[in-house]
Amino acid sequence: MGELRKKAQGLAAKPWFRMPRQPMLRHLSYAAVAVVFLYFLTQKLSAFNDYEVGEIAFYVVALAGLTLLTGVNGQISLGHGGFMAVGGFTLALLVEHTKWNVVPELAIAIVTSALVGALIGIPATRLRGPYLAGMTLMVALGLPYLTNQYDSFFGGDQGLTTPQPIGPASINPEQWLAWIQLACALIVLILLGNLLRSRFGRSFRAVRDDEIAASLAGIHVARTKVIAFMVSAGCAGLAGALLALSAGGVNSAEFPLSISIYLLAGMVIGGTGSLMGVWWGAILIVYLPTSWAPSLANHFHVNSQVSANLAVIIFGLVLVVGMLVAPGGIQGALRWVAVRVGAYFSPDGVPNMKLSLQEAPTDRAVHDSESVTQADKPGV
Amino acid sequence: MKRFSLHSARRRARLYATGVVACAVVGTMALTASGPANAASVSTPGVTATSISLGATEPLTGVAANYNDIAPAMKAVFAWANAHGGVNGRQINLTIDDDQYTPSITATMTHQLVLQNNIFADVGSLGTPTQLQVQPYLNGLKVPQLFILSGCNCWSSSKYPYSSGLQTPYTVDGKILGSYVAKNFSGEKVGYFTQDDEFGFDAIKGLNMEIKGSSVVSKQTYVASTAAYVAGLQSQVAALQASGAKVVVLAAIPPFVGLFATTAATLGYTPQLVIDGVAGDPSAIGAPAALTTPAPNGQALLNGAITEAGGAFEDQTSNPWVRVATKLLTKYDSEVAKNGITGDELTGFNLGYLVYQALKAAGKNLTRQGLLNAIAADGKNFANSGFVPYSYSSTVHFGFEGEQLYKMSATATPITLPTGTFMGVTPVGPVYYTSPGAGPVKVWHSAQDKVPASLSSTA
Amino acid sequence: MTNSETGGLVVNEITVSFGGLTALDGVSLSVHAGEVVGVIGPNGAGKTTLFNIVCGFVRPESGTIVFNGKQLRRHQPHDLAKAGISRTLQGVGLWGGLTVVDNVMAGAQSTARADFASALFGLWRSSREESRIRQRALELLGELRIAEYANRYPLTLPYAIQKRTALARALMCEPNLILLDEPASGLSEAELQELGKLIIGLRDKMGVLLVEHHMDLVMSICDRLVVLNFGRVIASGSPAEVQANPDVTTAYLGQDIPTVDSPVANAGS
Repeated sequence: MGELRKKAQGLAAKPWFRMPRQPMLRHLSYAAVAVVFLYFLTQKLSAFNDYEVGEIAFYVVALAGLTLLTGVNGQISLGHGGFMAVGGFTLALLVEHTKWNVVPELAIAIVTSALVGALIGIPATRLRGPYLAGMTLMVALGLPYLTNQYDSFFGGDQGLTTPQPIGPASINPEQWLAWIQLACALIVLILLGNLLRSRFGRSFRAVRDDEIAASLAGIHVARTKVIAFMVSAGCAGLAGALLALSAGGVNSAEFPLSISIYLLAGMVIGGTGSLMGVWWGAILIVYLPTSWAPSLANHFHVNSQVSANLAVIIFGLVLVVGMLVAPGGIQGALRWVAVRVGAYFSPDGVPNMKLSLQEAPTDRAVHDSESVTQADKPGV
Repeated sequence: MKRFSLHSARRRARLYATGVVACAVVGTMALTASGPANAASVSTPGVTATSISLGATEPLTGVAANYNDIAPAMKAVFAWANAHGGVNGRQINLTIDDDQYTPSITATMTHQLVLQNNIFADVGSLGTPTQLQVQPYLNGLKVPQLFILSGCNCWSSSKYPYSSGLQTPYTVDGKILGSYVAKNFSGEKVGYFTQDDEFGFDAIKGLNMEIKGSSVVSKQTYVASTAAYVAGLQSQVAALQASGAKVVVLAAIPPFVGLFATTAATLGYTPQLVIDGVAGDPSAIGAPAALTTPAPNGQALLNGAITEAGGAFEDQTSNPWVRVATKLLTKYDSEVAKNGITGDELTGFNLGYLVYQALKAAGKNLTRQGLLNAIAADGKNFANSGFVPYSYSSTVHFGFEGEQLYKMSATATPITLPTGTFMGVTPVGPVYYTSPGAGPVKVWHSAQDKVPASLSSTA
Repeated sequence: MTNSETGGLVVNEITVSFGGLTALDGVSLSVHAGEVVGVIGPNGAGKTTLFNIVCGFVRPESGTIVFNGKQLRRHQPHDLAKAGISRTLQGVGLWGGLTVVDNVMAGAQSTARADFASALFGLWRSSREESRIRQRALELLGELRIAEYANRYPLTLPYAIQKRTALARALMCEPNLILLDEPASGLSEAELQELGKLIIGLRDKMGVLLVEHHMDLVMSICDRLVVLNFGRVIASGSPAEVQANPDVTTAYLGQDIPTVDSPVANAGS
């Protein structure tokens, strides 16, 4: 072990590769690695598994937006299912009335839901905590219901059709769809990563931590909150549009309140405020209700009422236990372990764990990377 | 320098964390992956020389889990068919997936059925919101979505030709009840109590075609959720009572009909109840057989309530269809063998036997379009336990469009089930049929189909 | 006070009341560039309310606030930094989720030009500006001799470091006037000495208006003092003049409160 440690320390002292500091270049290089990995993954998997990967991808999009709003900006939302519905219906209406390519359709879905996000976000700037949760809850309940009221426009119970986009004949449709969805997920993560490393990201966090101090620093608090709401709703809208592509259509039953609740739970379990942690949340949202919980229920022969609610129960348990054991979520816990491993091999020996781990009370992931950039410049 | 080492440690930490995410994603996929699905075969998907693969998504668990005995009964009919040479030499394999009555899970499960189980058709899946969710997907791939257990008008649409419903459309339910109310309670004030979704909307559509608008004095709704059930129906019942409605038509699911009756009883409100066929079974409402005085649970209110059903009740043991179903299911469905037959299992039996006849009619050269053509051509001749024929045609994609009216009665022979003894029913008047569109409610004169000898001799 | 019409902050006859209780009653004062003005008075005298009015958190019922010749009307707190006024908070008000350097960088919000699109797409326009602001923040931290804490999270640091971080943040927008709300609270004797030097150092670049309880500090660094009691200015002038004023002594000892304006109230002018 000692030998290994020495070797590792030697390597770490002279890093052979360093990520670029410019945020776009940096995030693009991460994405490039992800693209290669995801390409081989989707090639290897069956059509159905590709479909599931696509589902994970659109939940990543929704969770990334939510984590920006709730984790980074401190505004809770129970209404993201509603914004997803806006995106889904926008896409479906465009499919119905135009002959455009899917890319501009997705773009318009983002813009529309961002605008609806602004409508909700403006009054939301005056609310906080349970009041904000209550108001956004109305979005989740009300927006899908609206589509039932104007059924000639929104297609009534049946809703509207959104045919799965078909790629080249050599690529099966599920794989093609998964690529579209994964591409959207990566683009969203890159852009949100950029945003969080800019002055906007700083403003989001400042407003979350202390609004009075933020306004005295020249940050327009209300505007900042509305921007966060719009970005977040835009992401949710994109996710809803991508969900519509997976489902083949949209209707009001497609965006039940449970989606909004799952998103919130997935975000917390993955690691609130962490753009990497959203992958964990998305995997959980996709696999827990359809695959893991039913297998567990089968294995332990629990009764039908319990087994149907098992996914929710597990979400709840993980949430409670997780908050006690690992308040940073899965991503936070991984970092906790990794910092210790990293410190063991670090050339300067073990750093002060207590400080490095307890410094930031919330939202560490992207945030840390800023201080890391700084650490690269000891000469300043 | 210490602080910088701390940060380089943290940078590594992030790289490790990223790596772990990546590994975990691969691991997750690897665990749940089950190899590439069969490459699209030249022949019909899900059909081989010796087998037909079918799929269904059902609420085996969750809020609608009371329907979880339907699909096993359908599967039992296939087991019977397979034991007797299959259909046109092919064995029927049915995969039943639990969707927990949750649309998003239905979507995933249906993709799994199509992409991984490579099904030929989706048959007998249950639920309006759940099946609406997958309607465009299945139709897009031209996968038949047949015999859906839902009475939504939405299954018969030119937009989605591969879909069809089995249950009597709620609008037909509404028209038949409405014509009864118009005839027998003319001049009385009428109130509606309906579910606040397409079930209620469709039913009201039918009721309004028959009942004069001026006689409807109050329309109350409820949301089908656990929370609404717990909150109770005081305000709705009180509003109906205040409106002076002497007749209340209920388009509601069984638990809410039961709750309505007990709430009305506590408020001293005693209207004539007219109940949609969705809650037509007194055992599902939980109406007790024996009347006690004073009747505290609304049982007095249910005694005499008018309801409707598309077929015989399971306790009508003299009915040949009930007899043959009981015999077959006792052999092939362990649940029936243990606890006796329920109304749902009778539905499942009827469903399974219809699917069997449809596959048979489609012939040896089985294709998806061929199956639809066969049902359109021969559907009217499929023997079944319904009071009216199976009405699917190339233009109308409904299953049944007729109902027998019943009266719940404390003096009728009680329904005895393992779960208890419940109020019995007696038939009222003839069987009626109609379409969901405009057009009169007519009397159906023919008797129920005879049980085919091929079935009764082998069950 | 030759340039009172054009330079610095002039607060003129401000009155405000909360639910019938008059918090400030015709309060006037001025701060000019290169001047340290202290506002003192017993608890509840209206010192913080005065700051809140200048910052736009509270609207006065009557009176005007003029800064550099321009009247501030219906101004919002977030407009201040752009106008050239900075303020530190009594409770420090640092953001726990941001490192010290990020806290300080956020102070440059009013000078940042990068638009949303360039931030979203990570364009050079945004990232160059970020580097520039970071550079400036680190310089400031260096000047305040807390550069070594740049990457730490502020709430884990000693109070004195936090106070300096807050000061650095307030200085990032290069203000013409800085309002310091009890800068000395919670500091040790040695730290007080340093703070005093620091504040005097600020005089070269800006006007300083401070609310402070710590008399030794106030007396040693302020050019002028304004004494508030029950929402009124009861005295103003040089530290020596104020110290000699009997009304001030009375107010501080909690004896009879003067019911009419003291004739010496404007003695300092």
